[in-house]
Amino acid sequence: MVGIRSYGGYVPRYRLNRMAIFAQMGWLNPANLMNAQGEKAVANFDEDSVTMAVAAARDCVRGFDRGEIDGVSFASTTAPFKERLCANIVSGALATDENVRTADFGGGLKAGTTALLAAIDAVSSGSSRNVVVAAADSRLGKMGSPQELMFGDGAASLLVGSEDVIAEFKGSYSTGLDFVDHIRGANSVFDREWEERWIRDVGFEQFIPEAIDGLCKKCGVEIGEFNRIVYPCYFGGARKKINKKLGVNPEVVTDNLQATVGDTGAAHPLSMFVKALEDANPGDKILLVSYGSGCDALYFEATENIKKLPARAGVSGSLARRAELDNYSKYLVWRRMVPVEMGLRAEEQKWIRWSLVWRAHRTMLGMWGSRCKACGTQQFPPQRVCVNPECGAIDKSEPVVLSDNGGDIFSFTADMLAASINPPAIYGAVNINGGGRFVFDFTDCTTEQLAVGKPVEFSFRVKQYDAEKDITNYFWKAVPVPGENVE
Amino acid sequence: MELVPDSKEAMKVAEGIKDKVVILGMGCTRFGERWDAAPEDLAIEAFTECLEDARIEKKDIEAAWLGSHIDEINIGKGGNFLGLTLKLPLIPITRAENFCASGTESFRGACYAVASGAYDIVLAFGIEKLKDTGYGGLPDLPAFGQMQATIGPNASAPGMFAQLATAYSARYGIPMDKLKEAMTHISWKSHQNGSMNPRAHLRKAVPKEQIMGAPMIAYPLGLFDCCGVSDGAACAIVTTPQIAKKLKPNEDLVKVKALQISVSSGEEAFYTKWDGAGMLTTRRAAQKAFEEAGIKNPREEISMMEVHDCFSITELATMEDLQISEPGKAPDDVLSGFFDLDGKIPCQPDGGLKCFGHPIGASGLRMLFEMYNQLLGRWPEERAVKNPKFGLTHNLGGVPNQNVCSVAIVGLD
Amino acid sequence: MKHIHYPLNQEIRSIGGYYKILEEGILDFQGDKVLFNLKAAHVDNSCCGSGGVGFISVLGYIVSWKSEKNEEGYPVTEVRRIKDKRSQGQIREILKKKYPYMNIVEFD
Repeated sequence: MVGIRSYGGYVPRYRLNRMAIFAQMGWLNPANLMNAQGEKAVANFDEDSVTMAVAAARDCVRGFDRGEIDGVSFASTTAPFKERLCANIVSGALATDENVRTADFGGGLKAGTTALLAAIDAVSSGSSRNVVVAAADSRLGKMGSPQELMFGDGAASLLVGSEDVIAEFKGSYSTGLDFVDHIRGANSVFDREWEERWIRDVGFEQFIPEAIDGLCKKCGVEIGEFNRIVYPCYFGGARKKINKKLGVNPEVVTDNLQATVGDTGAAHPLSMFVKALEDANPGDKILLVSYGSGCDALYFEATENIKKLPARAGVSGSLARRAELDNYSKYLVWRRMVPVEMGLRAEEQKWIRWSLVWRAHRTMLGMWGSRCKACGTQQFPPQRVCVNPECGAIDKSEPVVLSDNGGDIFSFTADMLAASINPPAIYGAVNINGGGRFVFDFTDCTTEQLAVGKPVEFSFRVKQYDAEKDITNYFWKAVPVPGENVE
Repeated sequence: MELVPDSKEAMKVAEGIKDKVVILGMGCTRFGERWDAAPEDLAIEAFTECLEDARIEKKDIEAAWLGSHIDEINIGKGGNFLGLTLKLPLIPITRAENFCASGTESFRGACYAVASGAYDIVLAFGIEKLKDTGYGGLPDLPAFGQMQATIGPNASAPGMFAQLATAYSARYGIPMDKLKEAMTHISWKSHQNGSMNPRAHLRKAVPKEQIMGAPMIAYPLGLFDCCGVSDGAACAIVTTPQIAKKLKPNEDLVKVKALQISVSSGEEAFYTKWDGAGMLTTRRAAQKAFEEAGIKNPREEISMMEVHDCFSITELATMEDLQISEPGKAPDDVLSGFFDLDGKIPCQPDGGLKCFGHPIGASGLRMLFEMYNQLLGRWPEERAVKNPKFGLTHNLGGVPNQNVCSVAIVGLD
Repeated sequence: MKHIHYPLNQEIRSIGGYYKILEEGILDFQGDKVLFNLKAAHVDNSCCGSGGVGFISVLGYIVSWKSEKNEEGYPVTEVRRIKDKRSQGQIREILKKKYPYMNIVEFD
């Protein structure tokens, strides 16, 4: 049986109220008031599609043996690189074996489901055993555009395999259409869309029912048999029409997360699918449809195992980790939409040295540390000479992955002098559970949420962005564990 | 041949630096934002004073050590700057860089050269010219190598030293209110002392209320807890006691009693046993220096100190690391006036880093300059330390969990 | 606690920078009057960075307003420090809403 073994979700912590955007830009396009309801999820200044995909993928593989993963796919239309495979970064952050098949999917918004289909095919054919699919997007609309209101940031991940499957794959139907409703040229930052009425009437309202129709015919299933139907479309009116056209009860159609997250592009159908899996019961027939440059329609059936999967954050859990971003211009600066003055001191040349990064790639991507075999001391970053002053053994250590260990705060500070686009820079020494201490940047928190001894978990984040060369590099930061308040 | 521990001990011949070297002369520029001065001007200003004080000629100098920290701006790498500027006649010049201990490191090199018998008269120089960067603050360049620049935190020194304050408070159960009060006293004292010093960068006494009311830069460090960026140069000419006696008969001579350096081992940064409430390097360097100088009870025997008060909390913790205050008792000593100019052991009689200034490579020699002149009784009554015998200087370069520390002791015969 | 009212908009300089007291404010809070200062610092010559900070100092509940003068002739107000975390939190929220452009609210 081939299908889904596990799922994970990620919604960034910060949420921007759409009315806060409209309050700043409504003077330009008053018609946007129609879209200025609810809130959208916004990636932190140190997040991008890769880090969000890693967060969702870590959630997905929690409790699974990383050594059994032999495929990692990344799907996004906002990959931070044209050349540098993002799936390798995700794979490195998951600390999988390096004997792994990696691929990036992109181009259209159906890239997420296409990656999922490729994973299913790879497992079905026997060439892979366990494939992690991680999709993420962080699309930008220009200031004052409807897209700026409708798009949100987020990620979802699925583990495809053939053992302990929680949702069996039953069949699929795909279309590929050069229907250009949204477009970004190779050098464009902002989305450009054609007339909304055309996207709605011809795009969503025709192509989604056509794909579903194709699937039902191909698989010999009736639309009415589905307990859960997932398709992306943020036009409320169009959703009603599609449901009517399909003849389905709107209650079986999964919420489009528009009021809480926004349209997360290639990740969106998968995020909604994860939400559906969170609530699914054994025997549920689930229909997953993507939209954008054509459609993929996938048919799954939940198994008994769905109730056995240990709890994970999923979409609901990360939705609950929420903080309001009450500042529209912060959003603009975080997404690099406007130039800001960082001071002359910040202009000193800081290169990312790739030969060094390669030598240390396990440390940087997977947070590999070392454990001394002579005295048992765990340390990070890995040390060839044991740091225990009573030991000092040379080259007696073994590698150990520490990203899931978490730790507690030994000391911390909030710094107004370190150059940051999100001041104050918050950082401090963390005692890693099991041993080792390192000074980490802290993120997704305010100073008030920190205290000595408070538990933290590690999160894979953008460590440096070199604006001049448009290069991003990544490392781990510490995030206080929510709910663990120390007074 | 494998040595058994006993025979290793038996082979030891080193007896330390004590009384083997005399400071023949010293010079120090006015520190400050010296927009008027090129590094060459600063060097000549300090050197002229030093040469006059030593009462020798330039041609008598056989070798030189040059301390400076940042090299891309400032004076560049190598020893050439000093040779070219002072037109030293093709003598050996060695550049020493060891963070904020660079000045003391150049002094140490010069002293070892004399003590070894290789040279009779040697120049130790320290300089930093930073006010050509275009911004306040040291250049944000990778000081600990590329790996740390890549994965280390986006940090500034105040942030790293602020954690010393929180760890100290936690370690000894001293409420932050009281710690802030002690830190305020430390800043207040440096401003009092600095206000009387014509060479100091900042000459202004400030009421404690205004220090206390300053905004936080990195909790719990406020604006007055942090040092600044200055331009300046300082230097010393050292020689043997025999030569010094000949050149300056019947005069008081300042002798070198101890020179120690200690460098972090990774124990502070990566191991979990360090308490974060003091510097292991300072503890080690101080212990070795007192042994070298033959000082049994530092609290009773040391007369005065110039220590690395990059932040008020550094000075406070250093009082304990130097074995002057009992662990956890430095705030009490500070608040009792023990380290004030009229206290038992005046600390920062010249205003310290916070008021005299901190041109990194020059700082170690600037501190020795103050000790030297105090020992020789050259300062006006209002800021003179009474009957000093031993002066201690201390530099700490880097951050609490990864640093270089130097401790030097000088004294009258 | 005594609070000395230093003149507004005067540069108070350290080696690493300077600060000014921009504004003095009084907040009505649960029957008490809370005295606070808006301050701004510019760290323009610190050894290890440059930057600035907008800062609200909450000095305490007013006990007696400008009831004496210090030796320099500045008025002095007697205040009672606000130590209760709950009240601190509520006052912080009110002040953050009132002055969203200030980075930090600190209690004396």
